[in-house]
Amino acid sequence: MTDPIETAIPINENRRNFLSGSVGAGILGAIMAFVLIKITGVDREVIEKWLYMIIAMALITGILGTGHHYFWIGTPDYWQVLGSIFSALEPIPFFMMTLFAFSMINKRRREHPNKVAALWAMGTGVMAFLGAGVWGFMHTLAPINYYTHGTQITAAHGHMAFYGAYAMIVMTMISYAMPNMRGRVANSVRAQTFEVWGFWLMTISMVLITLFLTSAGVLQVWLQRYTDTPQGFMVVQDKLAIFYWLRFAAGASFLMGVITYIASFFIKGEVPSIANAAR
Amino acid sequence: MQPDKVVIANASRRLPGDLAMWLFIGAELTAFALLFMVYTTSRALHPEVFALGQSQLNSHIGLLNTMALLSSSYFVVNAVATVKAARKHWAVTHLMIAMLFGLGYVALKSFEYYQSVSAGYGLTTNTFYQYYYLLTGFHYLHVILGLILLLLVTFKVAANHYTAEHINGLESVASYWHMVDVLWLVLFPLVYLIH
Ligand code: HEM
Repeated sequence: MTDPIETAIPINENRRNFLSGSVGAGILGAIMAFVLIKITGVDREVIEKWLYMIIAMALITGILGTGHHYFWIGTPDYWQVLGSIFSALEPIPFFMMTLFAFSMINKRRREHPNKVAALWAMGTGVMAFLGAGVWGFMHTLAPINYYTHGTQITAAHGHMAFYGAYAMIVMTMISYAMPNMRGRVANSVRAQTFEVWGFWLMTISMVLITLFLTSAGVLQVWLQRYTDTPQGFMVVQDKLAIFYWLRFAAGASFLMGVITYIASFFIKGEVPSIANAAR
Repeated sequence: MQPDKVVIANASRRLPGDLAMWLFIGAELTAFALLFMVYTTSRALHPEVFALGQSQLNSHIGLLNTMALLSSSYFVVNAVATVKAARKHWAVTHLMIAMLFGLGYVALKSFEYYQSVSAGYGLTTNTFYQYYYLLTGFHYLHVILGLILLLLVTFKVAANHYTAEHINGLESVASYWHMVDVLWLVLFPLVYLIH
């Protein structure tokens, strides 16, 4: 087998070293904890204990887990061992985050009228786990990453992880904070319905984007890397065209989701009452 | 059922220390288990390199270190028991002895590192030394963290922070220290003895 890294990637192309795995889980956990305290009314002590456990786990796994970015940049061999072992454990804090969101919302002690904020919080947990945890794990072991490094597999993971962990947590926060800043406890039912549509349009489109990019990536690795007769980068790109068109279509429907989401800010309607709600 | 039996049954089912500490211990053990597996696999792939490297280690120091950690754990057990029996003064003494044994470990292990490094063996010398330094180095860092935790709870014991009913923090640290000990009990035969 030819050496795919030598043939396909200029060896001096240094990759950025993201701490996104661990920092992601930490920041995500902290903002999530804040919103969950506000909308579920569960004791702060319980929420904080979860948060500490998630952050401890993110640190244990994440600091050395970043080693998965050091595999092929000329670092000593032991980074392949360290990066593989610790990053293979990185999905744990993301899984805990999903459990965290769902179990706090199940244990809620008040029915907050801002339903859509809770939807965003649960969605973030699930999508961050899928994007970072599952799609990250897929290519994090050195012997696998040897073939998938810098392919569309990476792009697929990057898209879903960033959307799930960062885009969605920001929208969770906006969803909770915007009505407050505009002097109401929650948006009208009609506005929330629009926002829920935006949520599903964006989220389902992102799942499709990820699946199409993953398919492109598998084919790319097959033709360009994991083969005795590797084909050139641009030759292979041409053969991936169908997946790029599908991914483009999914991108267009994502844009519809963004527009629906922004439109929800301008929808009027009767504002839910303060009773029973946290401020 | 007799009432005192009920109490005993409950007592033995209670988790010593905080649940969060046990999750932490679980994660640590998983990471070490993976490291042990990688070590064993790599040893099977490079038997000569490992045989040569292992023969260069000083298993007498290794044995002394095993005894140091075991004794240390024993005194931590005593410390928890004396706090439960409300004899705080003894608990502080036991913890100090436990820490001395721990420091003894650190001193011996540092001496061993000093010897191998001066003999010219480093992290990148060969596969054996790579795993030797990674495995024992990780464990060494855990011993140091354990010692810091022991020091913290010693101050708290001295300040009368713990009682028989309120002993979660001390038990958590004790559990962590036992984990450090148990890991060495796997590491020592794996790296020093099995040739
Ligand atoms: C919030 C969480 C995360 C985000 C936002 C994120 C995002 C990204 C992005 C944008 C890249 C591309 C970097 C580049 O090409 O230089 C990347 C690469 C990578 N990520 Fe993540 N990630 C996250 C968590 C994780 C986790 C938990 C794992 C492992 C279980 C993981 C495994 C990887 C690997 C192995 C690569 C390198 C891919 C390659 O070799 O091309 N990521 N990540």
